[in-house]
Amino acid sequence: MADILSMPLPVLMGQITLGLVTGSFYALLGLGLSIVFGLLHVINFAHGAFYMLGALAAWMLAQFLGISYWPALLLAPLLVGLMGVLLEKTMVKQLYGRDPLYSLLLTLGIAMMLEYGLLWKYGSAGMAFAPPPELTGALNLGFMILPVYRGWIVLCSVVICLAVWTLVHRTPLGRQMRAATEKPELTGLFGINVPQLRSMTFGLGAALAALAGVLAAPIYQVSPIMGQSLLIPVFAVIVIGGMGSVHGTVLAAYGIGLAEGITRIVFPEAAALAVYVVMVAVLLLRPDHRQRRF
Amino acid sequence: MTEPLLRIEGLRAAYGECPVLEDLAFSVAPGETVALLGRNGAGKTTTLRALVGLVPHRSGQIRLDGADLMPLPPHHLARCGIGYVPEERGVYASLTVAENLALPRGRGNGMPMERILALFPNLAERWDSAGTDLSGGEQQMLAIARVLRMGIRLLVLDEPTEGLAPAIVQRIGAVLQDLRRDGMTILLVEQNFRFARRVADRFLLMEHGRITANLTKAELPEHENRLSERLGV
Repeated sequence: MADILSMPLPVLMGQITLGLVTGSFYALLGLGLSIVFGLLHVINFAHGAFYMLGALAAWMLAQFLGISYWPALLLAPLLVGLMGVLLEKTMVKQLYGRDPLYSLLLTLGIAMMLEYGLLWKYGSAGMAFAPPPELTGALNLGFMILPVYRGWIVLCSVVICLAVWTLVHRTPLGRQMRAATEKPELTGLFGINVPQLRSMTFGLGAALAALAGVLAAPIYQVSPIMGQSLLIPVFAVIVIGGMGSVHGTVLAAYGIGLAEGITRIVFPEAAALAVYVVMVAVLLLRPDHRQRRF
Repeated sequence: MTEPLLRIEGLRAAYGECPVLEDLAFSVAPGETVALLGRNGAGKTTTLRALVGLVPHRSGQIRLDGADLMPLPPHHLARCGIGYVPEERGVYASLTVAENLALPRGRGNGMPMERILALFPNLAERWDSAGTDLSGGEQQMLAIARVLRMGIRLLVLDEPTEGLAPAIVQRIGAVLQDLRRDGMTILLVEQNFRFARRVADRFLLMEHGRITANLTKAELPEHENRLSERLGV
């Protein structure tokens, strides 16, 4: 604590901003994983690949079609979301009702095929993707310098998290998703097409991951394996937040992001461990917490 | 003779390798209330679950108003006009009373909310309560109210009075009588013979997955002893 208090405010705020940016990616990725697990009981190891595909699609749209960042922010998640629907309808749904290990292995296989297939084509060296001119530079807030693009990521993530929460808790579609999560068999008998709902949910999860990928593209290099390093911490986040819980996932994502940022000041070597320490503590102290409803 | 609303013929159903229903056949006329009676394990609940497509291994014929229901997925059955209230009531814990009632997507001519709340005034008082916060009686009322919102032609109830206080059983009975007067067709599974006797027009005794007796209300007294013996009442 003394270290934190003795730190110049701009440096502390800089670390907090970095923590919030990390938390934003955890939240966007965690939301998709969480709703897919909640409704489909699928531990989706292809989620990191969807994140990568979002970034790569934005890069390809710019590179080959001259489509700029703003349309790509919509188009890339849409394309990856449709691909998610296709994968669910052709492969993932074959394994419903079986042990979740089967779908975990299937999605891991899909991820490997996508990532290593694209690695063969594009190599592991990252490809640059520039942010739009209006989001470059930094804002002087008086107590800190805020890079505009990082501020945009946090803002965008908060808005998307609120939108997803509203979708799940305040719309007829969300009501159907919550009902189908709880009692899928019975929900069908209320005239709700549960198989279609599952496809849409898988597509939505993929689209959220792809959106995170487009947001990440200008600050990280676009690479076929960019999703691998993020996937495991995101799984830890959703375990901490309660698998299937929207607000639990978002709170855990930002909490862990901030914890990582602050740990980086106090004990930089342990920053990446923060998420796992909390996950182990949650699993040991509150094992029933790991699976919740929306 | 009136064409039956529901006709089941040669229905077989099994859980894995274990057959539960064997060549089951019965029908329910429009506006009729039929009670399926039988001891535990006779196949009553399986009959209802097979009717609404929740038993994966089934064969035979199930027709509603002449239309074949066998190939239809569950979400189409709701649109055909079947409302199913399961034994465990199926109230969603994560949805409020209002959300539970707003969930169904039926035929679009469901019972108006004013009428629902007149039948079940408790639900108005618990409007924003989560499903888990309701008493057993309130959950049963909500489960029945929810299917009535779907514009159903056939109400299928599995043990509607199980575990309920006598006052609530009376209330449920009164609601079913009301629905009968409106012309609703009802098929119910019931262990509470006194309740079934009060609300039903016809009684089907099930044993070992088959119908072994088909009695009208007028025929009940002369078969009282046989029924008591078979049902253990």
